[in-house]
Amino acid sequence: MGMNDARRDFLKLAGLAAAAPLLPLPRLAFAQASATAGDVLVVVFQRGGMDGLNVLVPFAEDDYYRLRPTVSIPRSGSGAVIDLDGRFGLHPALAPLQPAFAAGELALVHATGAPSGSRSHFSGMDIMERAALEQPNLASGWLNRHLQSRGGGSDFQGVGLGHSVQRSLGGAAPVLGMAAFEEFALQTRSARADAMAATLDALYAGTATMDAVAHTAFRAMDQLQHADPAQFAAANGADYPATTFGRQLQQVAQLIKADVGLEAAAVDIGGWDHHNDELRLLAPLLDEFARGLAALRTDLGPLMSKVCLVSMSEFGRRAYENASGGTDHGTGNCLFVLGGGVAGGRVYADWPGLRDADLVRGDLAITTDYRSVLAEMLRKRRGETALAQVFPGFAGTMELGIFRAGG
Amino acid sequence: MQAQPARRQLLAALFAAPPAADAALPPPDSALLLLNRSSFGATAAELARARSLGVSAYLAEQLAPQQLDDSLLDARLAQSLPTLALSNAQLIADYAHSDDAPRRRQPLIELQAATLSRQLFSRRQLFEVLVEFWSNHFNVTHSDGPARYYKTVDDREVIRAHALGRFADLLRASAQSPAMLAYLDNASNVVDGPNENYARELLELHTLGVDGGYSESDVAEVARCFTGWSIDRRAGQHVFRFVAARHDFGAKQVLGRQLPAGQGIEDGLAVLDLLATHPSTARHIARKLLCRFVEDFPAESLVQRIAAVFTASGGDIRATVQALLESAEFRASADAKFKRPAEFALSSLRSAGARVQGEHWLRIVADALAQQGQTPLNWPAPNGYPDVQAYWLNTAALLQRWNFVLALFQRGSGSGLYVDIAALYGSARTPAQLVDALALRLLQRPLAAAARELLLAYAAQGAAPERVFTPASLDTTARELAALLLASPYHHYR
Repeated sequence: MGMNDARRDFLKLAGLAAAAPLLPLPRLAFAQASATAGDVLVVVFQRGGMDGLNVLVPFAEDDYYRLRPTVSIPRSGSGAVIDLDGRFGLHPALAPLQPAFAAGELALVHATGAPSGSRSHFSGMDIMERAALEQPNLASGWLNRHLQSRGGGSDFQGVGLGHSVQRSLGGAAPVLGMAAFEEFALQTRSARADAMAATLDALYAGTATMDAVAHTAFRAMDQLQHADPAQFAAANGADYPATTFGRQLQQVAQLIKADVGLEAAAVDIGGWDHHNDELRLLAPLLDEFARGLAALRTDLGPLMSKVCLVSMSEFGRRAYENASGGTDHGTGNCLFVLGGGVAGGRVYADWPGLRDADLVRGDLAITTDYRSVLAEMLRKRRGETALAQVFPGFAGTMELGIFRAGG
Repeated sequence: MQAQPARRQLLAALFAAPPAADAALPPPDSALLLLNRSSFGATAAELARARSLGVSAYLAEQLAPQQLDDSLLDARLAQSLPTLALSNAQLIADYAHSDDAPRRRQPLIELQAATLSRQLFSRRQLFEVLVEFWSNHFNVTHSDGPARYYKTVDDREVIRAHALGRFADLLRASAQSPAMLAYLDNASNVVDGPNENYARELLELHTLGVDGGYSESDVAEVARCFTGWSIDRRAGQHVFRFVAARHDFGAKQVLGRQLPAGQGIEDGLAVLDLLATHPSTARHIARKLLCRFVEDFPAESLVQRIAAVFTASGGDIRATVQALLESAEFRASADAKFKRPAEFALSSLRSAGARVQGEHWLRIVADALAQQGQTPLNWPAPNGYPDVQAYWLNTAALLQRWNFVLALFQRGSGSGLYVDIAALYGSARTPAQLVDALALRLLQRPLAAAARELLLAYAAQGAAPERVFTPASLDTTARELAALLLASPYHHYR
């Protein structure tokens, strides 16, 4: 007997079947999911302002070393960059991503970001996650607008991993917040657990703000119990970092394997605000980031052909180092795109240069609006046709060719 | 800073979907509303006191916390948490430099324990609410490097020393606190390579607000003003020191004000004075206090009114808080504030009169808060824990809250944290008596008829609501009903 049947029986017994709104039985999202065209999107937000210049390093430029006499990644010798194309190199801690790059499934974009001019963490994140710079009153996030445009899906259509649902996922399309599967169940030793659940669910009916959230929680609990995504162990020797970020990426993989109808997941990795001691602090964070992405790709194996991961951070950092062995808030940054539909193995950059005259307020300039990457991804890999609604006010239509059509 | 002025509207629009208050629930009375906002949850005893004194007298009492005897708690904390009273020098020498890993962690664990203990047990509840508010306003992430040690002094000598005092004093104490100097890197802000971290957050978060009318040039100039504001580590002191050799003595211009060349520490002090009395600061502080005590997005007219009180009183925090708690908007704001995880957990314990033994309860509560994303003093960014429903309300959050109260009422008396369930239901012996007694005791306000009917059906299990329970069934049902009541929508608002 599924939980819902038991709940129904309890409410009947209690004479409340007519009074209390019954939950619909779990929708069979599992079948529907396979019919959904397009990649599963995984959006990783690197909170704090990642230093793109030390992540995707323009090592061929003397100006980089001039601006960063001490806070830089060397061209050669120990701790040198991983040369990608003679111009740009990866920070050595990103070595776990080399196979994906070599296989053509990882692309990087440089001198990108949101052209807002904000160097505030909080405005910067807000701007990037809404992705509607020209419409400051538009509250929803870009992923939610995309889900709205796609129409209804399963309760797992949009999932925000962590303590809060990311702003990119916020909006009219219902989304799920989830910290971890094992926590996503009512934990009680009561012999009447089903009746408790039914009563609790019914207590929320009609409350102005919590009704829908509570009901979604109960529906999702039932579906999780049914689909049991935790049964899917990491495959192919995938080794996720034993961190919150690593566990959350693994949970995304498990939701994908369980076929519960996931279409967009948002995951965060924090700690990028390196105003001081950057070289020491950046390496372990990049290692965690790289091993997480690499494990996801390994774990999903052939399923990766229908997954597209994109990373972003609220701003890049100042082109020149400060006196604390760190860098202050800046502008242009790099981002990562990983997936089977990515035309990878190369760096996409309309490189603005690092001569003093090239810098904007001392920052790497933005020559590629990050929305052009997202728009191309949604169009080619998700079949999105209403790009003007997803990115209102964004006139840029220039596609870089980062994605293969046919998602 | 383009697009900034519109940000407030944007945030309002983003989070405006839910109505201001949940009209589906019978509202609390004025005493309960005041306690919900001015404390970490109403206890039966405090509520009785507020109702007998009247809300004005009760508020007056809370606004003069020194008059409220907290000596028992203070003595117990002083005895069991020896690091609370230490200087940075002692904390660094005796703990940070210890070879023993648990000892290195001890100051952090003890400050966390003191914070939760005071929130749970102090009679000075409004003061503790403000301590929490300012700890977030001037956030220093507790687990961030030397903050593990410096935060103990920052908590004692910056936040707690000025939580109900003058904002200008609080701001200056924060600017010279080694915890803040290290956290936002001003300790390494020097003339030949300014570090803007503190300057930017000082303007954006601590004073003017992001749309408070400053420019990128102001950020850079303020950073120059604070060059040389540093931590003196000579002889292991770890105290504030202005190092003239690291200061930029050139002329500066901040918010249109010329600061002449040749000034030393006076540059930073002048900036702090300018900011503390700036109209944007008054609005920013008023808006944040209103968000804490009244509603997520207060009307601009209300913000202006409270900002005027702040300005007229010379930045007096007590007068400002009193004005907003006595406003008509406050009285009309029942169920407009969604509890954050710590408020939910602590108010559950306070409402149920949970018994604690030893130190195990701290672990239970701290683990629950870590799981729900609100470890005390440990938000990972300089802006402090969010204070709006849109951040905290989601499916995972509700589930974790439900599980917290389910576990609470399942714990036995040997577990270090438990509820004496019989004390909650008193003489109730039937399903109807049990529902009414527990609802009154735990929620302290009327249940809607539909909610009472649901709970009665649960308790009666198909039998008559007047049937007397067997003792075993009484205990079990009472525990389950109590959990349902605290898991219900009624308990999520403060």
